[in-house]
Formats: sequence, C-alpha cells, structure tokens
Amino acid sequence: MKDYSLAVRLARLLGEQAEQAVPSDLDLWPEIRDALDRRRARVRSNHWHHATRPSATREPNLSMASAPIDRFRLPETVRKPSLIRQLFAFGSAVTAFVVFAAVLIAVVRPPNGVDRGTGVQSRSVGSIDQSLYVVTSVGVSMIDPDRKRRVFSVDAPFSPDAILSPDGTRLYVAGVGDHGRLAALDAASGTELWRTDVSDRVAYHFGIGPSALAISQDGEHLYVLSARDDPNSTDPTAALYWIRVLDSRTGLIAGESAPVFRSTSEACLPQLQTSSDAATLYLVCQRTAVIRMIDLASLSALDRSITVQGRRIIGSVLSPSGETLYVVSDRSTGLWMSMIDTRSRVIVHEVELSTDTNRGGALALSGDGQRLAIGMTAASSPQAISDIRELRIFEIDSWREIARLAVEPAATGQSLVFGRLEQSLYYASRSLGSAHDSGGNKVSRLDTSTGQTETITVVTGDILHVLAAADD
Amino acid sequence: MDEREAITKIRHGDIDGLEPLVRSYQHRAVRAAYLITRNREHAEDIVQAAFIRAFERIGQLQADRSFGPWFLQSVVNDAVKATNRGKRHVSLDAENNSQALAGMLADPTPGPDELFEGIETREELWLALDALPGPQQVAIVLRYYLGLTDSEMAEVVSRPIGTVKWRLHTAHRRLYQVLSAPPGTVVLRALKERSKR
Repeated sequence: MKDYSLAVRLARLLGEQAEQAVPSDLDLWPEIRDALDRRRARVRSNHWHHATRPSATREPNLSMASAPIDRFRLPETVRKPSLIRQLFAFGSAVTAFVVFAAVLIAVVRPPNGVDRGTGVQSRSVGSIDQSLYVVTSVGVSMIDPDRKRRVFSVDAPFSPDAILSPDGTRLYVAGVGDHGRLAALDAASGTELWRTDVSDRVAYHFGIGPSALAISQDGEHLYVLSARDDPNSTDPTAALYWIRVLDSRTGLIAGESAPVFRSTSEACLPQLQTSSDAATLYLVCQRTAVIRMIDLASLSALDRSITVQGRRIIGSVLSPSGETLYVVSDRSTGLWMSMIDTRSRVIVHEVELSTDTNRGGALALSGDGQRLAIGMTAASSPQAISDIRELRIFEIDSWREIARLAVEPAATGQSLVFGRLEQSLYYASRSLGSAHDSGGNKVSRLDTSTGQTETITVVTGDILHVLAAADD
Repeated sequence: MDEREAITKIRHGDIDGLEPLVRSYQHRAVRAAYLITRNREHAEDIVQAAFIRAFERIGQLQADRSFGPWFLQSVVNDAVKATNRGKRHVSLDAENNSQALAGMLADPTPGPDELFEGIETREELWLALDALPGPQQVAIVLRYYLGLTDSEMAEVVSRPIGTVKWRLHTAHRRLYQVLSAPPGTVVLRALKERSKR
C-alpha cells in the first residue's frame, strides 16, 4: 500500500462515492414544493372543514345518541364538490403525476460524473511574500493568491499547527504523515528539509502529533508542545504536556522540559508565544483563560501563571518586536484586551474593547503592529459553529475602534490575517455548497477600504487559525 | 436572495424562501445521507422530509445560527435512525451480496484516484468502511465528508466530544488493521460482516 494518509484517502473516497451515487443534477425542489403545497391545501381544507362544521348552536336539533356520525356531517352544499374544488382535485392529480414522473426520472437517470470536490473544510491559513499557506486537516497547500492556483501540497492529516520562520523561507508543520511527525518544508517549493518524531503518545491516537509550535524571534529555535499519555489517568484523552526545543535548521532536539502541565486534550487549546529576549515561552490556554510561562533558560515551568479577565481567550498575538503579547478574552459583557510585557512577564495594561455581548472569534495584528482586527460572532451563536460576520478594527495606540466591516461570506474558526499592505485581510469560510458550488472552505480576501470580498481558493480541512499575511 | 433573507421569508410562511436553501444544501445533504444509509432513495426521502420539517419548524432555528449545520444535524440524525431501522430488515442473501461485491471489484473503469492509489486499495477501503459498526461509520462520514470538527460532531450525534474522538480513533485503528491485511482478506471480512447483519 502506498504511503498516503488514511485521512486523505477517506476524504477522497467518500467524496467520489457520494458524487457517483448522487449526481449534481439532483433537484429535490419540485417535489418538496409540491409536498408543501399539498400540505397547505390540506391544512386550508381542514380549517375550512372545521369552520363549516355544524355546531350545536347552528343545528340545535342534532341528536348525539341517534346519529353520532351525522354529528360531523357537512351541509349538502359543502359535500358536493364545487367547480373550483373539482378543478383543484384535477390539479392535484396532475401534480401527483408530475411528482411520480420526477421521482422516476431521478431514480433511473445515470450519474453524469461531474467532479465537484469533497468539500471538507480547511484548518488554517497563512501566507507570506505573495504566497498563501493553507494548512488543512488533510495537508498543507501553498496557494498563489493572485493566480488563484495551488503551487504545492503536502499530506499532514493530523496537523494542529503550522508556522512560518520569521524570514518566511521555511514552513514548519506538525502532524505530518500517518504518524504525526514534525516536518520543515522549504516555503517556496514545499521540499521537505527534515522530519522528526517529537511525540510519545500511544493510547490516544489524535494526540500523536505536536500540539502547538512557536519559533524564536531569530528563527534559530523551534519550540514544540508535545503530549505524553498520562499514566495516572483512565481518560484516554488525558496527557502530560512538555516542551522540546529543536534546532530549526536540522530538526535535532536541543533540549526538553519536564512536564509543564497535565490536561485533557480539549481542556486547554494551547497557543505558544515567545518573548523578544528568548527567555520565556508563553503557553496560552484559550479555553481556561490561563497563561503559563516556561523559563527557557532552565526549561521549567514558572510557579505562577497569568489569568486574564473573562471566560476564555479568543487569541493572542505578538507585537512585531516580540516585546508585547496582546491577549484578547471574552467576558459576558464584552471583550477585554490584556497587554503582557514579555520580558517582565506581567500584564502592563488592560482595556475593555467592547461592552456588547457579542463574542470575539478571531484575531489578527497588522504587520506594522498598529492595528488589531477582531472577528466577531453573535452572542447566541453556538461556539462549535461560530460564524464571524463582523470585523472590528482597533488602533493600537489609542485602542479606538476605527472600522467595523461586515464579513460575507462569514468567516469560520480563527482564520484571520492581515495582508502585507494592511489593506486586505485573508480569512477562511465554510461553504456547504449550492447548485453551482460543491462547498468546501473558501479562502477569501477582504479589502478593508472598500469592504469588497474576493474568493482566492477553495480548500479542504478544518479551520483553526491564520499564520501570516500575503501581499496584495 | 441570501440565506438570511430566505430564512426570514420562511419565518413569514413563504414557501419560496425554502427554494434557495434546498438548492444550496440538497446535494451535500443527500450525499451525506447516502454515505450513512448506502441507499440513494432512502437518502433522498430523508432529505426531502428534513427540508419539509425545517420549513415547518424554522422557529426552532436560533436567529444567528446558520441554517446549514442545523439542517444537516437533522439529516444525519434521520439517516442514522433509518440505518438502525433498516438493519433489522436487511437481506441476508449472501449470494447477492457476493455478486454485488464481485461486480464492484471487477469494475475496470479507471477513476481519477488511480493517480494516487490503486483501484483495489480504494475498493478495499470502501468495503472496510462498510464493515465498520454504524457509529464509527457515521463518525467517519461526519469528519471526512462533511468536515465537521470534533465539537460539531459531538453536537450532531449528541454525545460528548471524548466519545466522538474515541469512535474516530477506533475507526482509524480498525481501518489501518484491515488495510494492512493480506490482499483479499478485506473482501472476505466484509462479506462475513454483511452476512452477519
């Protein structure tokens, strides 16, 4: 058997089988319309029936005991079908015949074999230097956003994270291949530079790959959060997490910490961020609104942690210099932003960004570090299916909201990134398809000056977040 | 007419509001139902009924929730129920099953997948999928056809995330085992599984 990932094979196989069995010329609407029309006609008829039903006041002489059936007998004028009702009955018969014929045609017609794709959703999007990187649940693709074509793809079915080196020449992808390895790719060609195993998980298959990645400001070291089965827990998702430091050029392990925390895989939803002085690694647990710190000199977790305001952290972004970590969190009454000085390891400023109940869903910082974009989702939207329908842009210096834009199609997940010229924002959105579109995840470009959106590509996989920005 | 306008129309009882939603979601819904039931007619019936029910119960759709996930949840649930019901009445005619499988394997039509793997492997995978227990099959369809996240899958099947992940994990493990088996074993195993049902 060739070395193709099971996930890729399954996605393709299911898509093909489904398309063969259910061709794209399927049209259920006539039958549904007819069924609804008939139901309505029945309801109208019943209403009318009840309205004309003889009541005790209208027919005071009706005897319940002698003629129970006659109790609901309609007046003679009603029981005899009028010309209109006869026409209606004829119409219903014709409609029924049309429906029957439609069903017959639908059953016997052969598939037309039109390839419409599987329409699975994308996992993350990132780009740099005229290239767009889309990391999906089936792999990583490099897209040329101007020509709207795919340049290369790599299988990575278990990837929870991927990052670009600061100079944009390398792409590091977690969860590559069937065994969830960590790989370094040439960002321009997709050529694999090295691949290494940085996980020891056995029992819990979905945790076999690294959980989160970060890279030092100088690009020399790669920080990898990995998980190991927790021997003291019966929960198969429970794990001990620890940090490994890798030489980013060779993939060789340069250091390893003791376990930094214990958690089930879904309890934290981690992000890793590094300080500008390469002294501290910040482990942002989005679900618990807690930020743990790892001292990189000793590779040990600090005793204290930072807890930000709110129920959960929407996301965290580093300033271009790496000196400030912006953490945006959700409260029941609005959004809260905490600025952490990465050298002193403390919150230096807190700002209430909004006071409405809508939730934040994604975060992006412009390349010059001057503007922060937050994707907003409605308060009533379920977290699992949160659609970002509005974008709010804040000026960092004053924390003033300078723009509010509609996002259409709605963005999904944490898929938001500024373009290099900071006029555009890239995002991924889920599309379930239409008569002319088989669905999938679209990567779109939103022009923040005009509010216009343009589709760049359709990708496959689950959306998690965005990495970096491309030029316009 | 966008989805919001369509839903507003439906909320006002206008049947025309349903048309764009049917045209948008019918293919995906019927295909998902087909992958679960493995019967196109059943799949179409399920989806038609789900659209009619969606029209009648649009009031249950929260104002800011997308129609798609809400609707597909209903379709998937109905498909799962139909499959469970159908298993009680499934034909045990092993000969017919054998012929169908033999026909499937003998199909010489080259497909685009040959570019990345052989027809036999693909058919073995299809058979292996068919041999999975129902909940695992559903998990595979939800993840790899509908592309749902763990949280969404948990919501659709009304089970905890851990359960959903475990089903996927078990399905993966089983598929790996089956695909690692010697050639022909998969076909025999699938036939046995089918005849047991």
